[in-house]
Amino acid sequence: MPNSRPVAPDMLAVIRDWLEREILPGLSDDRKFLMRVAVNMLGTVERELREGPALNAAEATRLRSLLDRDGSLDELNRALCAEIAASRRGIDDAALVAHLRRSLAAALAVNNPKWSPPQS
Amino acid sequence: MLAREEFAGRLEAALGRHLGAPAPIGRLIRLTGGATKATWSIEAGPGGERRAFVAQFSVPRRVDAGNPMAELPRVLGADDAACMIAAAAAGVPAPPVRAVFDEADGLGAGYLMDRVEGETIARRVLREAVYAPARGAFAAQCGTILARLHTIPPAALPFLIESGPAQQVDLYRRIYRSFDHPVPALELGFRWAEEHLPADARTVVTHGDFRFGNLIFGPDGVRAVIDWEICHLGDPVEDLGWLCVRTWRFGGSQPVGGMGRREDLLQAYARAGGATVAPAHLRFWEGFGCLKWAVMCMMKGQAYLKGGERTVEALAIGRRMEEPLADFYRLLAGED
Repeated sequence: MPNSRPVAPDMLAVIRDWLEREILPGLSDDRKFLMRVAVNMLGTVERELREGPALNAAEATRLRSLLDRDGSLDELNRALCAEIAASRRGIDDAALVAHLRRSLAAALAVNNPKWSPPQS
Repeated sequence: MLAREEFAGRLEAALGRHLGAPAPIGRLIRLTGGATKATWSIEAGPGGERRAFVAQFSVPRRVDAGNPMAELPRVLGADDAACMIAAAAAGVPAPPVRAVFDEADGLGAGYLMDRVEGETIARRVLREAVYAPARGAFAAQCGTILARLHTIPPAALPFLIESGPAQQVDLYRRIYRSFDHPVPALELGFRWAEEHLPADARTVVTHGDFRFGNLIFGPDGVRAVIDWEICHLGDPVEDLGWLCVRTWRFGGSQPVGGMGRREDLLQAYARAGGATVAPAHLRFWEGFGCLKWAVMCMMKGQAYLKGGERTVEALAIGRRMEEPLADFYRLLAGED
């Protein structure tokens, strides 16, 4: 990332605001729908830029302790999938389910904060 | 695809041919369009009267050889129309089919049906005062409709493929794995589905996508069941469970389409001649329905990686995958 300001999420936020306030109201109904989808998508990218690194780090930390091994987030998720597929971990594994629910809640916080998060 | 003028000309000729009288087209509006489907709203006057129709066109899904997505149910053109005709004969509210287009029409696979006036947008049906009676009756009405739907004789629809619970778990897992995007929450979900396959699954004609968006509402309730393109032979409880998947509640507080109670759905289903459904059986299809929708989000949202649809809408759906997965674990924890 260049040492430049404004930072990317702030730029996205200002674009999103402008589209929502200035452009969206004048559009036809079908384009309005798609513009809303696009505006929401910009919101997702903005939240990912702001919160993604910390959420990913937390997920990787949980995975390292769950799997008792090191690796990148992608490697750890692959390793966990392999353990599940091989029936070494199942639906009765409370620590596993708690981890998965926290990861899903983190993803929803980025992708769609309005979707009620699971209560865990 | 045909240019609009050419399409309109051929459509007008086809209408005249199939309706038995010249039917000049007044209004022609494209309602939906996508890579695999196009829906047109038509006002045309055979013999001077003015009638409202909907024409539906579909093209086969294009996937590479060996891609598991090729195994998904897909009912096109004349077969799609045949499903609606058979459904209407079984007492299911479905739009009357007026014509099935053939090669002479030069329009591609499609058919013409009467336009059923009403509302398909969930937000309106869930909130507007005029639909209060529809909301109150919804769960029981769907129970009755689905009981009738499941009596459609499979022999009338010989083109339907069979897709029972075990087949679907296997197929959707293979589709998920074909994306090489490991999602532990989905992986564990598939293990659960495999371990909870319903022992008493039967095989009947199932709609496959019975939910908000594919139902046309009037103030009193469901007027028509549309979108039969993933109709298949399967377990009847699939349709009941899919209707309860949280995604299809569109923010409504009740389990059945956001508007009704599971008990009312199942009671009406049994009263109308459907089988008695065990809660665990319904739960399987609700839970697996969440997993299916998660995989569908993946299919839609990551299709562009393989040369497929690259639109704002498609990519946005890709980022919805965690919604049904969170709902799946909520269901398992007894929080739903």
